[in-house]
Amino acid sequence: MNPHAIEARALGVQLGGKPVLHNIDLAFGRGRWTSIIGPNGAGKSTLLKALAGLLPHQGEVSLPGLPAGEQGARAKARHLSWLGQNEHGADDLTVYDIVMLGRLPHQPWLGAPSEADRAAVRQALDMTQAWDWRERSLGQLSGGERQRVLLARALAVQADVLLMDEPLANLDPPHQVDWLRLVRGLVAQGGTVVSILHEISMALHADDIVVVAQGRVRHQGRCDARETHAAVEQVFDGRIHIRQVDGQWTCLPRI
Amino acid sequence: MSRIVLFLVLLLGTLAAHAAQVTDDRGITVVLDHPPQRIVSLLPSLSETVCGLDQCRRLVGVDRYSTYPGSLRLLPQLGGGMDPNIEAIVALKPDVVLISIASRGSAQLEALGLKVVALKVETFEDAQRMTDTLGRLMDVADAPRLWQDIQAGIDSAARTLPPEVKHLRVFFEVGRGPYAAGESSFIGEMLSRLGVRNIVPASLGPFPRLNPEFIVKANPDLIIVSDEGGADMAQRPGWAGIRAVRERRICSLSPEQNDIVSRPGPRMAEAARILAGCIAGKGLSQ
Amino acid sequence: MTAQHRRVAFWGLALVVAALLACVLGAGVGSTGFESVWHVRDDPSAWRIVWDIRLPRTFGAWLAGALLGLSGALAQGLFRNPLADPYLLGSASGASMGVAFVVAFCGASPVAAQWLGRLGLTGAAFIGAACAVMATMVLARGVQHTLRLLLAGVIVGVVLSAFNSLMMLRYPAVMQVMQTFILGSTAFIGWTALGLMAVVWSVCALAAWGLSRVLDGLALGENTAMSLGLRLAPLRAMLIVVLALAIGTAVAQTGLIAFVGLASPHLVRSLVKTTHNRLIFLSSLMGGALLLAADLLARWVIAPQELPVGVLTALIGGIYLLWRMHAGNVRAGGA
Repeated sequence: MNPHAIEARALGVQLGGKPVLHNIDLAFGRGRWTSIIGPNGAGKSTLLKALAGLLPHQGEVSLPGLPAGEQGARAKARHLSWLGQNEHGADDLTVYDIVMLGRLPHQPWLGAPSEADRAAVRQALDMTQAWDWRERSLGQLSGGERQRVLLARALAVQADVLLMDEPLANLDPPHQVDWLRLVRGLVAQGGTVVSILHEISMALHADDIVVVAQGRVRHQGRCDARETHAAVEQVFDGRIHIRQVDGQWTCLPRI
Repeated sequence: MSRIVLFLVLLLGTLAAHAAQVTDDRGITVVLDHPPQRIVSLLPSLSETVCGLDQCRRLVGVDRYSTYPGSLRLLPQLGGGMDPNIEAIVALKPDVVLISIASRGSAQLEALGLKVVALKVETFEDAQRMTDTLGRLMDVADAPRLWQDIQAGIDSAARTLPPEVKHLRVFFEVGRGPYAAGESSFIGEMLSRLGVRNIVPASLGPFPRLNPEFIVKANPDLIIVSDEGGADMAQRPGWAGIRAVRERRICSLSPEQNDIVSRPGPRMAEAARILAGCIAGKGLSQ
Repeated sequence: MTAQHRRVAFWGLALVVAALLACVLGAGVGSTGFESVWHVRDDPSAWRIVWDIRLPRTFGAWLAGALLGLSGALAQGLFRNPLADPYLLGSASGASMGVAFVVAFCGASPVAAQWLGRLGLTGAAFIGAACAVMATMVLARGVQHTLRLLLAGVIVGVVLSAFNSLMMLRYPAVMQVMQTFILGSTAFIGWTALGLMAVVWSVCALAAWGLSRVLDGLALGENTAMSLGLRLAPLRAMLIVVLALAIGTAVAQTGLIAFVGLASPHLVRSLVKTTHNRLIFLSSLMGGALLLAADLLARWVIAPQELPVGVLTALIGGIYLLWRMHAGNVRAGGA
């Protein structure tokens, strides 16, 4: 079986006529958590959208894990879940309804939610500790609570591959730790997670890191490798250094 | 002798002080040094009356709806009554501007130094007053004769109709809605002069928008309508049962006839003839 | 979830009951104000009036309102904008153009007159609305970008509106008809028109219900919707067709009635929050009730004269929304 969950070959994207991603070759390991980091404007969000198939691109993106018979949009949607950055939500829908929308790829077109759907929603809301507010509407929640609900929506898809863009936005430290545990749990069960994080210390908890700058991949490697740390420090112009504190790799500003 | 001198002084005084003074329908008195030679008219009824008083040559500009007599079409068009082209009017340097009381242009024109006479022209009474006012404004000697001629024309049109018409019940539709011409409207007054009855009483106002049920219930004997509305009257739900529709006693007025019938002015006699022709032709049972 | 479902069911039932009551009332409101239908039984000509005019008009008002409410929910879901109303794709101006053309050129030639006579103002309004929506879609070059679609709709609406004004200047007869059209009226709805509206409403409601998933997905954002496997382009095109059909039919029969399309989804949301599969129906029911109530008042208040129904819909809907807003502010403290 192919060890990669997503592969990109010669991936290029142009937005508004300007090239944003140049000739990217990447492979994301199955059952591993990869963090994508880089400076502002490097093209990380664009890269993630291209991998999710949400943007027209040159080159090829393939999902080796997808069974050969299922190639349609819905099959792909069951297999790959994407959580965007700053996505506006439907303020008028209840939390439960929003998370249930994550089950769309699994539901027949005109069907009512099944037992499996309800169980998936329950599980997703439990994982993000949002079950208690399931009847509240999204507009009534704070930024952090809202983020957890949107995260639950992405989890409810129960996809093999999870692509998340800035999933920790607005989350306070305890919930950031919860998210960390959640991702570790998913990966332990064989899922693949790719996340864009600007919290480098959090990103260093992943299995692999992809360093992106100016639309190109500067480095791809394991999180605990020295070359990786050097690449990360270099892409931020040496203004940070990565040290080990209490057995964890941490990013410290170089003042 | 002193009495003759007094009389002469008064006469000279009257002549010297002002040659034209009228009070328009806003209650404002407009004073002119001499009878106006350059007149702008922004309402078809007023244009027609000026020409009816034989003073067409004094008109230097009209609104786009003043189309009768045809010679007016050669004059500069100055927008509509409601949306006059102020600059163009001022550029023509008129001695006086005739305008409808409903138009908002009066204030602007007066602010620019022009003399404005604003008149209300909606009923017979208004029409008579208008003829009188314009006659005095332009210092036309036999102005009252115009009104008398009009009245005579209407009366003679009324006389052509047999006495049975007083039992006729008429519905005049002025527009889809349905909007009716009530007894208190100008058209309603004309119909009353011709001796027929209007199904819409004066209490409902001049141009009420009616519930179609009212008309069906009233079951008029004759329906008069402008061209566009007449075609599909039988298709309107419930209308097929109306006597006038069933017996095809519907008069359609052409756009020109519609203009004549709805404008108070010198052509009122012709309006009366048109309506009388309609009543005689379609109104009476065949 | 059950609490929400219960609320949905309650309000749905309440709106249906309100509509039925209003229909019964409407059967009695005539040119002399209210008269019980029971008394009229024995008078054949009065009964004819009830059967030919009052009943189809009452049901027609409900159906037109239902179509408008449905279109409103669709438009707001499609454009993800709570201020969207169904006239945004240029349908209002298109319908007015259709009417203007017919009135202006009706007497142009015998052939034209015959065609146009058969088509009628209703058909012309519908065709005008449909053409305007098509022009919008062409201008936006497909339905890919919501913003471009919105912009194209506004442009088409404004340009056609300008043409309308020119037509009114050139052919004064058009102005008269346009006035009535713009203010809206249920005066001439008969049983055939009613049947047509009923068929269109059933078709559109069903289609909209089937497509409600797309609207829910869109609520989360276009990218998220695509990532959930929704093929946005064809589905949005279908939604626009349904929208055009619904709004074209409503406008053709009753003229341009403002506010019902815009307010109905808001009124529903102020009562219960739910996904589009139920919102569409509730919005439709709310629109029907709103327009029916307004039509009743329009016929009753100064009988035998009628008020323009569009004025009353704005009054009723607006006052209720203001009250809800005020109550909401007081309760939630501005949350």
